[in-house]
Amino acid sequence: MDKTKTAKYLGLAAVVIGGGYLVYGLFVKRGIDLGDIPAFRFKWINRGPEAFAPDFRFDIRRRKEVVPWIPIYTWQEGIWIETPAVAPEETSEEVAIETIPIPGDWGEGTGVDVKLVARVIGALNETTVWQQDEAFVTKG
Amino acid sequence: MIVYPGNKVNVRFTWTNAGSVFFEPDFRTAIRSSDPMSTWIEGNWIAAVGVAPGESHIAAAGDQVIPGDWGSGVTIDMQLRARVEGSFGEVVVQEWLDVFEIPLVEVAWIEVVDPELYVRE
Repeated sequence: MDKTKTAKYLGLAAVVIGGGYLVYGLFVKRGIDLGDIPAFRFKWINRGPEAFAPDFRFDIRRRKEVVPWIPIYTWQEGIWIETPAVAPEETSEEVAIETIPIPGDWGEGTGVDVKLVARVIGALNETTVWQQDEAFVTKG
Repeated sequence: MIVYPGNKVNVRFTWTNAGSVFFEPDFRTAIRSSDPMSTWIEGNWIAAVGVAPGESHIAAAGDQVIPGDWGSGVTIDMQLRARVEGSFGEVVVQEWLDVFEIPLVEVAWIEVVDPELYVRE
């Protein structure tokens, strides 16, 4: 393939990707409007010896400094949802979970981290079971 | 016996009037967790059917709900208590240690698969 065709294909690919995502180097961030609600679908496998039914929560935080050079990365918490029990080595049904809307004052170009938090029956503590930094970037 | 927070536990039993007069006791259960700070949580009194001397009757105490903040891996003790009309005291007539157990489960056992981020439409 000559250089002209290669450039055209790369340009076409960039246009297609740019429709839904913003590309920064090796990282792909999904664009999201202020006020939109990030959501997450997943399944989980019970790698333990007992069946159990965890609760899940989906959180977000901003990556952009409120004051330049002073990062304030505070997690904004979604609400807990209950899920059915899963037997050992079994895979759950698909779980869909949402978090809070992207706050209107986060501004354009703000990276958004997301994480999935789980807790088990009666436990007061919680643990992050999945996280992706800069999963979204806010659009203007 | 495996239980989970929110489950109701109870005890069904047969009691015999080993005394010399007819009477109608009240029964209730009390539960506590194996947490060293746990104290007995008392259920409601349930009036039993009266029984003549030497007779027996099958009875049940009131349900107890396992509290939602009792963590996994906890074991639970239960008492059966009784009182008779006109008395202010109560007596533990039977006690079971570690009779119930909330299974030990760990968040670390969760392996997330097929993750997909999206924006809610």
